[in-house]
Amino acid sequence: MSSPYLSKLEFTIALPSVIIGLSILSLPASLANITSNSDGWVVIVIAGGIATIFALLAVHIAAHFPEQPFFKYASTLVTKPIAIIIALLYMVALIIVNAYTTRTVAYIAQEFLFERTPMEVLGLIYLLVVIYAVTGLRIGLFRLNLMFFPIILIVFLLTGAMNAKWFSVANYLPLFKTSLEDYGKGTLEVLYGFAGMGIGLFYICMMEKPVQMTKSVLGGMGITIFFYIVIFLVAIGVWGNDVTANIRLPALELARIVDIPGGLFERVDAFVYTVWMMGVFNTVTIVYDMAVILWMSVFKRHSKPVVVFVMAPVIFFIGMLPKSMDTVYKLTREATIFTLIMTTSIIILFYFMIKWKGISRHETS
Amino acid sequence: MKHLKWLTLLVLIALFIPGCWDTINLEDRGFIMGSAVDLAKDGKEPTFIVTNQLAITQRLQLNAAEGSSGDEKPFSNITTRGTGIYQINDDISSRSSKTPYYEHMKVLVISKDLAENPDTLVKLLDYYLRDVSIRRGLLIAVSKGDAKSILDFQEPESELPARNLRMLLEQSHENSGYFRPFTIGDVEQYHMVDRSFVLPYLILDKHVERKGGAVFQGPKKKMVGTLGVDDTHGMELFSGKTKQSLIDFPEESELFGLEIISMRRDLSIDTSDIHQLKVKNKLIVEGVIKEAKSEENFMEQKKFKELEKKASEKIEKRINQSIETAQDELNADIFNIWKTLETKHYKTWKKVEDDWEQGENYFSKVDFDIEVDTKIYSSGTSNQTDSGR
Repeated sequence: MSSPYLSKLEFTIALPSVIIGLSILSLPASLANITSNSDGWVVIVIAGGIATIFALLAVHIAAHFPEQPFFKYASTLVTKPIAIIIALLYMVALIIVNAYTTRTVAYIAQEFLFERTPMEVLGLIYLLVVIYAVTGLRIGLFRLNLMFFPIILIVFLLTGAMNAKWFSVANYLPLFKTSLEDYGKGTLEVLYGFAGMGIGLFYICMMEKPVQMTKSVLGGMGITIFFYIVIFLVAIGVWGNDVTANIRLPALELARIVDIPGGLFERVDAFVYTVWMMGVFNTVTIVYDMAVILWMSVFKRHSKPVVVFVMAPVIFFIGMLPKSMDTVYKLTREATIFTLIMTTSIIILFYFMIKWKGISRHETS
Repeated sequence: MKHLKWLTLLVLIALFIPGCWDTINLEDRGFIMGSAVDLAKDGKEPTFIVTNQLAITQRLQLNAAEGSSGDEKPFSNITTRGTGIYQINDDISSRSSKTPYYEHMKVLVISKDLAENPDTLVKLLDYYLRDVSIRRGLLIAVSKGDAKSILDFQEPESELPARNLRMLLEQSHENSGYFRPFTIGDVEQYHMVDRSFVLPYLILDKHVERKGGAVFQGPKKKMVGTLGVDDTHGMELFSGKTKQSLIDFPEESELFGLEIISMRRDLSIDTSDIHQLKVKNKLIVEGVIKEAKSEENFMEQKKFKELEKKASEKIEKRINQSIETAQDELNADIFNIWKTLETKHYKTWKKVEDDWEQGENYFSKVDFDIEVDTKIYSSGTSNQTDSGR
């Protein structure tokens, strides 16, 4: 029997699905650039801890307004005009993130899989599939997450395990040689990789009884942190700190080392790229959907398909605008930082507004 | 409305057809199995001569079906020259009807001349590391003469020289205890931190043979010399990782062969005086007698002890010899002492790091103390004792 409500498990899986998107590719490299040897895992734990606190707060805030969408309770908390400004700014940030994510997917598909197919075509095809998913029922996105995520997790972990031959424990040593300042810098760096932790603000209203979500959030964030740490440690174990810092996309490079004997299935990289694209698909659809929610809550008369189809060319155009990939990486980073700042400040603001206005939790059970 | 449906369908079809933009039929792909790079001696700029080995898949199948009856070789070597590898590899397309395909490249051979030119190896590897289709696991070796001739030489038992070479490099490591061949990824790793490393050294005589090692000195960024067979063996023994390696030692004018079955090492460094670091390497070797040309009674305990002592002495001597070569002749830390320093004595390492193999030359001042304890636990199947088991 299918219920129109979001289940706890679906929300748990949605967290890592949304968070692990683009950042997993470059995270080991950017982290290795800052920390020495294997110390990066400490940073991931710290940043992950901070992100978890925010994710918990997001759920906590939304739980005060059961079955009320984001815009509605935002209006109650900070008056309607401010809520409109917040919603529109947030929407722009999400659209930009979405645009550059699509571009990166197109680039990687071209670089590793389809050499001669134009990037615009690859991007468009990807976007069409995303549009198809977003126009449908919202709950369907979460069901897709639930279906894809275990595949992504297993494939990436297997790729890591198949690299065991190249492991060297010496690459991890000596431990804890990073300066305090670098730990701080690294924490900020990894936090960008957790920019999607605020989804609780938007989707708790889809749940029947948003009472005890702490376990779900902890579970979801735990999976994310674990995943990041494993990929990071595998990369360091295989190449050591200095080389990892110089590889553009270590997570995909790991797949290229694997050499399965027997000849039948020698190379796994094409397979891993595909699975990674499924992962990004999860991220992109939810981010797209959030932008649609925001738009529709401000302009209430527009219907969903219209909003989706109007947004699509904008996303495509913004994504294809930059000429070089370096610009894309830079802009993605800036857009992610912007989203991160938006998310965290909204959560902090709302939290204090609730405290200030003295709104109590509606206990439904 | 009906027209709209058809239009959508048409647009969709037009969009999905591009899947075929990238089709290359398997038989049109030129599988490049290996590359050999030489340095042209004329000209001011370093000019590379690159030989790429193209597998001719049809002939491979044919030979397999008819039992190597064909006179035609199943590969063709295409040699081109130029200053940049990218440009050279582009030239291949103009010489062959096939699209070059590098994903299955097995081995890269560079000539000694090229290796001895400072910085050239880095420039060369830059291309190979950057290219998306070439793997980091590509093995690299140095040849004594022309690298091209190594790829030209076809062993009777194998069809593709490049594939044979890869097997040779891997098997010699796994079955005869030779040091692990380096991949281009490993080379990058050592280059990045300016440390020394050793690549397999290939000699083409009547056969292609792996003999000794080519030593690259970290700070100088070039090959500074070769390690002889004995010195290479000393280095392998020092690492404590060599297995199935053979030690021969004379005993009363008779030759004994001892095969190493397992080895353990205990490396410790005394860092009280950084101008004379003391490295102590305790090795515990377990082996079996493989060759004994006299009629010995291995049941005798005394005899056994004597042999064990002799073997230990021989191993110590060999290691000490290679230490001497590394410290005095090459000034290259081929034993990876730096790695132990970095991981276990980080503070000391930070002090000596910049002057390890240059300037103050801390490495060449290191005092080595080698201690070997050999245990022979079997004399083979014919005369077994219960001493070790």
